[in-house]
Amino acid sequence: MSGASGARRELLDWNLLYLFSFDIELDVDRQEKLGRFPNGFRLHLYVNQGLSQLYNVGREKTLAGDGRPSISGRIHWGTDQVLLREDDVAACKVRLAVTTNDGAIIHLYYRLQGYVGVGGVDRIERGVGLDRYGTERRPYEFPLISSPRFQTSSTRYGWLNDVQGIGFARAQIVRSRFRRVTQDIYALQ
Amino acid sequence: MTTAKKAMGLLWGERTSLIHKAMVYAFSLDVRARSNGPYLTIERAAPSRADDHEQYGVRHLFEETTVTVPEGLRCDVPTGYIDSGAGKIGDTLDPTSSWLEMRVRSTLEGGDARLYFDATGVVNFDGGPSAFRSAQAKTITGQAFLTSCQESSTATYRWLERRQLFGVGRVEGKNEGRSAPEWVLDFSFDLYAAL
Repeated sequence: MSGASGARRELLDWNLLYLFSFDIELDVDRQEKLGRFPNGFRLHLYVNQGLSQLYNVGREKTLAGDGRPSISGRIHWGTDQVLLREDDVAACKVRLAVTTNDGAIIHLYYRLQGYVGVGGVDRIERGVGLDRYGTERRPYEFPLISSPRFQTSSTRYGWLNDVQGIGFARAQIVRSRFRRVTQDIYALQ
Repeated sequence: MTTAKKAMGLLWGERTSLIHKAMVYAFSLDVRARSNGPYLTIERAAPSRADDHEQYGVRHLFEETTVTVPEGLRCDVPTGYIDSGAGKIGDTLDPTSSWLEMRVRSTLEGGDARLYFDATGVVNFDGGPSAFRSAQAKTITGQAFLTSCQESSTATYRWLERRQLFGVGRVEGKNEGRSAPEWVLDFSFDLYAAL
């Protein structure tokens, strides 16, 4: 045990395994601004089911360096509970249900936490005049980092149950409404 | 035509290249936990005991005092000892699950500020989840990965509240139970900031 061998002086080895990418179109007609709560402003977002999909960017049939089948399909349900805190930090709880092209169902759950910039919460909450984030021609784009974990009963994709994922994402806001997100998901290993 | 399509003629999807990514080592978190069934109690690593203080706590492995996060900001690195904490391996609905939860309270150097970690992740024991539940096994090893959200009582570490950190870790354990497993588990995590 490390307790017996003294304090570590070296970083632990690790690697990233690319799993899949996905694009989410948010349903702009269904975004619910729930208002001010004691710990911030709450907002619920929903996925536009017909326009959200999952794919492999290299169009590979297997995962590079792993040999398991690649993952592609569509996102048939998804929601994001956003809490916009007073310190201009957005804390999100995202749940997605994916149906793969071979019929398996995979559930993704992740927390997401990110700084939305000075005055960012007010700009998203009110979104009028100069305070608006993004326009149709010039959407406001920003990076996000997600941390998905997976649950599935499929034997084909059961190995995902033991994986901690990391997602590198870009999100777009148009007229202070969250519009779309694209992500690359990797497994930490 | 839906509003989404009015906003942009083309969908974003079907990219053929990956998004740029960056991960920077921030600092390390080493804790000792005792198991009681699936539940973990994080042990206090007293600063008065030099060996505990060296092995468990919050520290930068190369003793840097600042770190440049992927956005380019220079941020102070926290250093401190472990106060207390709790956790869980598995899930109530699925006891064989490899999911890991851990909440750790640390006191930072100087003694007047606290840093809380609220982490979730996975732990994969060599030999599978049954190794952790076996009363016969005497030692155990495995890999653990987590993501952590932080809260701090000092403005110096406000940067940690604005991001998640990703932990790459190892676990080593010793079974001190006789009829049921009672593990003493040493978790070591290197925490990275990503963009």
